[in-house]
Amino acid sequence: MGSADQVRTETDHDVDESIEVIRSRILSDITEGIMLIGFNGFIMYANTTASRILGIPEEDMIGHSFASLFFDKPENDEFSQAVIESIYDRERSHDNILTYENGDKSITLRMKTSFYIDGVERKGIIAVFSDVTEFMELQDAVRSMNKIRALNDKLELRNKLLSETFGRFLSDEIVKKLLDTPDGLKLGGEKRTLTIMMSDLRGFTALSERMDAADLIALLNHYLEEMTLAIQKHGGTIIEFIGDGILAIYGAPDYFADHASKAVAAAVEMQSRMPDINKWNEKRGYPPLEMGIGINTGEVIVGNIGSEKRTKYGVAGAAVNMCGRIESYTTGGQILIHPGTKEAIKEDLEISKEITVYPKGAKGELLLSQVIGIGQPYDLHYAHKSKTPDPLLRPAPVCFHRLEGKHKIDKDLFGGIVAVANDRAIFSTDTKMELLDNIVIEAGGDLYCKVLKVQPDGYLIQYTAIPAGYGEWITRYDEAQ
Amino acid sequence: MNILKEQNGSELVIKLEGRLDTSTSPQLEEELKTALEGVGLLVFDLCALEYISSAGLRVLLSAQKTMNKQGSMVVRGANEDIMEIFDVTGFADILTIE
Repeated sequence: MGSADQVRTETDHDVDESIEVIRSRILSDITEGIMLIGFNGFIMYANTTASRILGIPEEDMIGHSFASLFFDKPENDEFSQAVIESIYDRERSHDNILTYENGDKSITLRMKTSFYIDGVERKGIIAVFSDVTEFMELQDAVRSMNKIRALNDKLELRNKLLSETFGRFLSDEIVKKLLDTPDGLKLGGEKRTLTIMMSDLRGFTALSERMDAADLIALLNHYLEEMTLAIQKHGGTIIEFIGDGILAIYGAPDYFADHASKAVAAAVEMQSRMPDINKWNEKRGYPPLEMGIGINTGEVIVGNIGSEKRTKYGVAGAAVNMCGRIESYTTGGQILIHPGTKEAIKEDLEISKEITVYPKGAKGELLLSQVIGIGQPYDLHYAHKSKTPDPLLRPAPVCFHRLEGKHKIDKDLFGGIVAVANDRAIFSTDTKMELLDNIVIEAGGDLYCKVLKVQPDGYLIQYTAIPAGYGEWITRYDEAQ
Repeated sequence: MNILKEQNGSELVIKLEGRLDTSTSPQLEEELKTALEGVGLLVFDLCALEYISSAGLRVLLSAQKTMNKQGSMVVRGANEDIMEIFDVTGFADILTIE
């Protein structure tokens, strides 16, 4: 019995020792720092992890007073406070996320402190903590990422709104100005005197009927791109592209007093870009383009027009309609300006001729100036060629129709082409025609023309759209039989 | 928190009333910067002090360090809770508590 008792005692002793070893291994290997502060204010125990996290060697902690270790730096107030809290409120354990200064680097700890009572004896405070700096940084990163994402969404929405409202026609400067103005995107307009420009390609409707869609888009995009550059270079704001036409304004949203001069300068620049555009077209087998530009200066309503859901920076008023009429009087390569625009320009204007017109909506006649250049500081000019037509060997008899808007009037009329140049012809007919009348002649296809002048030998007509078969067709009348 | 000062020659008695915590400790710290000049004995009367935080303890420790150089410091009247705080944090050994 005695020996059995002895064996059991030895076994118990071994087990106790083993448990103690396991316990100490657990305490030293555990990833949490563990610190026990006795009721006398001395640190009774600290594991290796605690020493590592707190940056204090184990031997400097165990047996030393808590006060002497953690009250030097205000940065560690949170750490000591967590210990103090568990003394004031000892009924529960306290869970804290706090910052701790370990040497010269700040770390984030998750610390659990509890008041340790053995029976009725107050033993001290147990503090268990782990370094969660990386986790917190990760959480911060996630939070930042979410913030960035939210900001991006906002920005995207804003950009979408901007591009829907202004398209890609405004210069960065104006977009920035609108963004900086809190009310920049508000609905509503204001009355303002500014200069309006409308441009159009001559005979484009006919051209669009016979060109391949992809080619037509390529041709149009290149042309509009070039025009956009010229307009924006002189401070213009493109309101819209209507097919091949452009509506632009000068003096809004960014106001400048010399809006009339800038509009004319832009128009001259647009026209002077046409030869290069046509070279580009020729290389690709596209037909040459001719553009007319009308310019008017007057009071308009300008601003964000539309509904809450869809707004558009736009311009409206009688002056805009008048600009459209002026543009309709132009032939290819021409810039026509309203007398009001001419009056508003201080710089020298190179005017090649003046045309009297009787537009709807105007009181009586209107003297439009055909501009081919503007003086300093712009100093821009362009060559508006008008070759005199060469007489054909024999007249080319044709059937033709008047045009009202874009519609042919059914009645057959007859005449003859007597002289031709590359962009114009002398047309002889008994039918009485007015200046700037539009006609369509059956000449190897539909040859669209505008009456430019009444001459002794017939009407000088300008081609506004030339059919593909015209060249071959007209040559027959210029060859010896 | 109220800080009541009573100067008697080179003896200064500072009575703290209310809570000496994170928000009020800087006030005491500021006060001590000038008040300790020429003081030989500093007495903290804590009988009306209800609460002391780690920041408050730090200010007391810093005052103790100053007084170690120019005289002495005594803390008296601490209630049971605060005494327990002094005990567990080891301040009972650093401060002279009456």
